[in-house]
Formats: sequence, C-alpha cells, structure tokens
Amino acid sequence: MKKDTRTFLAAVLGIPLFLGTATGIHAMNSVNGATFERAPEVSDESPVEEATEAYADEPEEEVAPAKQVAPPTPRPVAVAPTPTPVPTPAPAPVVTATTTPKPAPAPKPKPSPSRRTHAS
Amino acid sequence: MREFEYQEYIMGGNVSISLVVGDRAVADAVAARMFARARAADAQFSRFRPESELSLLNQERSRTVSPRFMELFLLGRELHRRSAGIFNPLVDISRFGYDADVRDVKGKDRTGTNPTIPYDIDLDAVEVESSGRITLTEGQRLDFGGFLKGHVAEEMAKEAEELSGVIVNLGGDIFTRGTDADGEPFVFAIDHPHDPDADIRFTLRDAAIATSGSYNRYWKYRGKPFFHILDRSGKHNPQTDLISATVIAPRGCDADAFATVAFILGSREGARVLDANGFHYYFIRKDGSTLRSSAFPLVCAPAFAYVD
Repeated sequence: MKKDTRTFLAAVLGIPLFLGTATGIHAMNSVNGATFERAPEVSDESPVEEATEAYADEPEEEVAPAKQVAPPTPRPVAVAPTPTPVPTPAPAPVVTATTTPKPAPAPKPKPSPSRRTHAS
Repeated sequence: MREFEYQEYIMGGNVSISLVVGDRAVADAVAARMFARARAADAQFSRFRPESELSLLNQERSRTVSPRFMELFLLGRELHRRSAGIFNPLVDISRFGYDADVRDVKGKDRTGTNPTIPYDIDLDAVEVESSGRITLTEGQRLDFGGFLKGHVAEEMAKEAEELSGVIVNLGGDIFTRGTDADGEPFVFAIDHPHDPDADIRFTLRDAAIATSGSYNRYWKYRGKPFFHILDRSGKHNPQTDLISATVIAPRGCDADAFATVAFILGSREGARVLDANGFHYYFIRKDGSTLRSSAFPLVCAPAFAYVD
C-alpha cells in the first residue's frame, strides 16, 4: 500500500470513528445528566495495517552541483583622509631695524602779505 | 629778476607792494610813486579827514569838485546802476559808529550819530552840473569807500608798467600784472575767516581781486554787534549766508564793489549777478561750505588772465 493510500484510509475511517464516539458520549450526558463518564480514549494505534511490501522510492532528480560563487568583491569605502601634519612655521626671527622717520612735510610757506586777500 | 616788497599803512589798512625788476633802485623809485598815489587818494577822499575834498562836499552839500573827484563820483554812480542799486556810495556807515579809523573802531562800543538826523540814499537826487558842481540833498553824504581802494590799487599798478611784474594790495584789495621773478604767474591766497590753516590758492595775472566780509571790521553799535556793510536800505547789516566773498574782475573798482554786492545778496543771488557780469568768485558760507565760479583759477588750474 502506498503511503498516500494509507493516509487516505486513516483519515476516512478514523474521523467518523472519532466523531461517533464523541457524539455518543455527548448524547449520554445529555440524557441522564447524572453522571459523566469519561469517553474511552481512542487508541493511538492505527487500524490500518502496515504495508508489508516495500516499494522502491521514485528516483530523485539529479541536482547539478552548486556552482562555486566567488566571494563578493568588497566595495571601496570612502575613508576620511588622514590629515597631513602641517609643520608649524618657525617663528620669524625678530629683526630690530632702525627706521628713520619720514620728515613731516614742510608746511607751505605763507604767501607774502601782498599775495593774501581778506575782507577789506 | 628779483622781487622787492614794500609796506605802509595808508587808507585805514596795510598797503603792500611787490615789484619784479632787476634793479633795487628802480624798484624803490617806483614804490615811492605808488605809495604817493595811495596817500593822495586818502587825502582827497577820506571821510575821516575834515579837510578832504569828500568831507568838504559832505559838509557844504554843494561844491564844484575837481575833475579827479568827478571821475570817481561818476564811477560810483556807474557801479550803482550796474548793480541795480545794491551798491550805493550814499549809504552812510558813520551813522552807525564807523566814523573813525578802523583801529579806533574795531571791537569797540560806538554810538554813531543821532538817528533822527535826515538820511537820504537816493543817488538820483544828487545834482551834477556840467560845470563840475555837485549838489547833495539834506541827509546825503558821499562815501567812496566801497570801490576806492580797488580802483586806487589798479592806478598804483599802472605806475609800474615798465616792470616785469607787480602786485598792489590795499588792505585786501589787490591788483596784479605780469609775472614773478621766475617768470611764473603770481600765486595768491584767500584768508579763511575761521581756519588759518585753510589753503585756498589761485593764480592770476593782469586782473583785480577783492574780498568782502564781516569778520574784519566790526564793533558794537549801541550794544549790538555791527559790521561795516549795509544792505540796500542803508540802515541794517545784510542778512546773508556768506562770511567771505572774493571776486576777480578786470577792473579794481569792479572787484571791490561787486564783492560787496555779492556779500549783500548772498551766495545764490550773488553768484548769479557775478556770472552775468563775467566775474569770477570764491564764496565761503557761514556753514563752512564754499562756492566758486567754474573757471575760478585755483592753483590746479592754469593762470587766469582777462583778455582785453
């Protein structure tokens, strides 16, 4: 017997048996209402005889060997540039220079009296 | 060439002369003639000298005057008419306290003359006869002070016509001709009333310069500040926005009289009148701003000269 057939018979025969048992218990409880007896447990054994003949399993399809997958190439990751150390400028040497101050522009000489006009 | 300078006090102010010539003896002689002219003008037209011809006419009211006097009177009348009556040789500043040399008046308290004395400034009312007689009305007194110094400066400069250059300065009224010892135009300066460091310079040759202002001749008339310029009413100082008006003109009398006219009128109307007459000007306003004619010959510009 095929596996599917056994499954089918167990379902066809088992389910009505289970339902009938449960309905009977319920009916008795409903009639006398006095006692409640626990319904006998359903045997775990399957009523279906096990198949004696062995059948060979259907040949499985040949599966192609898995291709070897190359490991993913790591993407380049932007990396913050490493700061280049900047050399600290050396302090400029202090030069003491002696600067001769520019002479203040000489004030323009006042024009002579004959060249100046004012309120007369 | 050398430049020789001379100075004397005449006509109520310092008279300065610069002469450009090679020989000092020549310069001395010319300067002597020029000062003599100035003194003669003062003697004839001073209103502070009782013996001057002007004082005699004002006292007598009718007098046959000298040709020289008539020439000056007619010149004053011409300026009166050309200025539409703003300039008037009949306005009498002595009534308001300026009745002596400026050295005795400046900054002093003055009472002037009795205000009830008749006062007439109608120049058309003056009778002029062909015989040379001039007759004034009661209340009229002539004063040539508004144009005399400018005119005399020009006359003095004519005494030095044979020299390379000459400057005559009568208390601020200037007449110049020719060039300096280097052959360059003379450079002049305008005194700023409130800023002695102000440098206002210009070049000029063969023309007259005059400045009118309220900052040099002032006193207190009956307790109130007063200065020597009167408006066309002849009774009040003018209400003007100017403190200084400098004018350049071909004739000394024009520069002198129209500087006063501009000062009386103020910067706006004064500029209009001067432009109409073809004169150049440099105004300093009370607020410190300045106004000048477009061709005023500041030192950055070429020397200005009137062409006959």
